Amino acid sequence: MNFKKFVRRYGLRLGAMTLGVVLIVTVSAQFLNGRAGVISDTAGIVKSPVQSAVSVVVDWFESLYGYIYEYDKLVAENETLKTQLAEAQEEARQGAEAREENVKLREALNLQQKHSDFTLEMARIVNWNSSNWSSSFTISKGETSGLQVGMPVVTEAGELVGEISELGDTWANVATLIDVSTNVGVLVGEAGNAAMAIGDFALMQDGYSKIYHLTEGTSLLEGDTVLTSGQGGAYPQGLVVGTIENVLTEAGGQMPYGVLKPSCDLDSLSQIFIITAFNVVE
Amino acid sequence: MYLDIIDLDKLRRSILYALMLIAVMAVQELILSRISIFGVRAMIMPLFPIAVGMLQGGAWGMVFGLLCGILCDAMFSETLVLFTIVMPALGFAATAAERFLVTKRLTAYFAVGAAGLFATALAQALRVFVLYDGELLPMLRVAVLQTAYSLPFIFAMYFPCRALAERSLD
Repeated sequence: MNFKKFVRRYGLRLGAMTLGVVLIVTVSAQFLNGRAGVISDTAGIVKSPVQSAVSVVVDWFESLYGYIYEYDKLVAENETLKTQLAEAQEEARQGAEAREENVKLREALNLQQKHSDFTLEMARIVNWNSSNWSSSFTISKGETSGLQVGMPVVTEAGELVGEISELGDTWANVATLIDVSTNVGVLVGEAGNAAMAIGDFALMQDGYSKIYHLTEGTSLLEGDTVLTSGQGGAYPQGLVVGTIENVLTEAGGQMPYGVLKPSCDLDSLSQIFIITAFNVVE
Repeated sequence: MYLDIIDLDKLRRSILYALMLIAVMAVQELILSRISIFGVRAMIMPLFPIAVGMLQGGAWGMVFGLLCGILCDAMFSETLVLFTIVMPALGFAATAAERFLVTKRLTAYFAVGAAGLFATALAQALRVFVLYDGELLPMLRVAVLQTAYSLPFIFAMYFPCRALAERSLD
């Protein structure tokens, strides 16, 4: 049988059946009011799990594709964010350093206002001397900045740190208050009794110095404040040296001496001020 | 022609010893200066001229001791010429010890090195004692601790110096 005969034989029946089904579905849809008909419902029941399975597989492929395609983008974005974070952290660090320096400079200004005769030169501590037999450090300024050997060195709060012991063109060594070579004229306590702050090797190991050569008839008390006397012209008058931590006697038991605790915290120093000029007390 | 009059072995050996000295200085200044136990730091510089003197000979020990001493006096600002005198003396004494008393072995170097370290510490203490009237017991304590902390570095100094001394560099 050829195609024309087949269509002529079965076509009418097929057309009538199709038309009938369409009419039935249309009419029944009007009555069902949105609810799926039996055929649709059955088709849906069969179709739904297949669609779910296909959807899962497609999603998986999509995520894999996204992972492969967008990985490089994510790596690049990560690097950019890391760089931005590092820059932000660096800015924060610089801001903290600037704030700290600002505080020190304000205190130095306060010092300058209290002692208007002082001329101050600021310097940074470059390196601490690694010897076990002295206490000194190197600073970032030298002769070209107008420094001279013997100039006193203080903190921004006016606490005595030491004096310049050695000088180069662009560097200088500062022997601290507890160094064995230290010799400072001081006034002790409220009465202002004259004495000497002298470096002592044994006390230097513990971060202390010695108050010695007391004026006859004077006494030391724990907690007494020690200030520079200004006598001799080596140091200005009134710089805070430290406090008396303890009062002891020499090995022979005759001479009392004080254990001086420096006011400045030598371990935390990073920046100091050199007094390049001041009025000498006569 | 000019190369014939230069002893290349000595020249190369000198350069290598100089580089070793710089390395020892770097360790002393950059690392050991920041490590303090009971307030005392190690001081390993004397071990270098002692090693060179014992393993290479008196002239080498003295010359590199002099170089080491000059550098130490520059590093430790409180001493003017102390190490410039002490270090060559240690180099020479190490050679004399090797020639007449001991061998070139590690145990001998340990003994001579320990003695050299303690002698250096005592020389530093002598300066404080003479110039600043320091008390003996605290200075002795620091000298002993400084020597003790430096002893472990004897091994690190001995083997490279011995390897260089025994090797021909022609």
